[in-house]
Amino acid sequence: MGIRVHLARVMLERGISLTELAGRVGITLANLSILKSNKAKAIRFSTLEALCQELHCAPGDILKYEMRAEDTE
Amino acid sequence: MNLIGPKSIASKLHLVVKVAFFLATAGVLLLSFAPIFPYSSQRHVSFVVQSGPLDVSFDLFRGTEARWWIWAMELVSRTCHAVVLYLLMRILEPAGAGELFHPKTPNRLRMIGCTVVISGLLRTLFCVALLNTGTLAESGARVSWAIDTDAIFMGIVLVVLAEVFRRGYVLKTESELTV
Repeated sequence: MGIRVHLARVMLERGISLTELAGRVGITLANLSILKSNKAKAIRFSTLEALCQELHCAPGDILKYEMRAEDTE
Repeated sequence: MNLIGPKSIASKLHLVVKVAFFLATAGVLLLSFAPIFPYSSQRHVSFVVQSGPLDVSFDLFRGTEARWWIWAMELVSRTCHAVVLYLLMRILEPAGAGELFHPKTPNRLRMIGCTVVISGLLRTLFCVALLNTGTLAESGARVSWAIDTDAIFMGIVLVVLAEVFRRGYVLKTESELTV
């Protein structure tokens, strides 16, 4: 799977909606939705920094590395 | 005026190519159903005869086996033109709508390149066949043929351009999915 985005879980813990977070971070709802649904190819440091600032968390809480099946073999 | 997007040069060019494609298709159909020998046949034959005292024209071949080779050469050449125009039309369609790096554009460019090369090679083959019909040999003209290197180079350039567009599409997708 590689890098997984756990934005949905962090948002649930903080009790913040997607629209509200998008407004606070300053990115579009569509882009935040892409990130949340793990469809994003890359994330800017500025976006990650803004997300961490608004969600009061570390980058490691949002992004997690998950071992691929072929890596374990 | 913008190069791409609605009401741009690309959208107007798309319209021009569309009209040209329909005219070319009509020309191919007309030629395939009625093997008339248009004036442009002389140009192709003149291309075959590179040197010699002979003034080659279609009249020379009237009633001979060679005229069928000229007809086949003309038909294949015009079909290739129609195919190229169709593919160009499909490339310009998304460009006219503002999307230059369309996922199918590289493949279409590659197909145009292949069509140009195949058309050039087939023309050479037809020229060889035409020379072997004997009509020219009997007239005493010195004739020769050559492989259409221009078409081959053009095909290579188009294949390289297709790769550029493929990379462009990959970069565009990555850029769109960067948050």
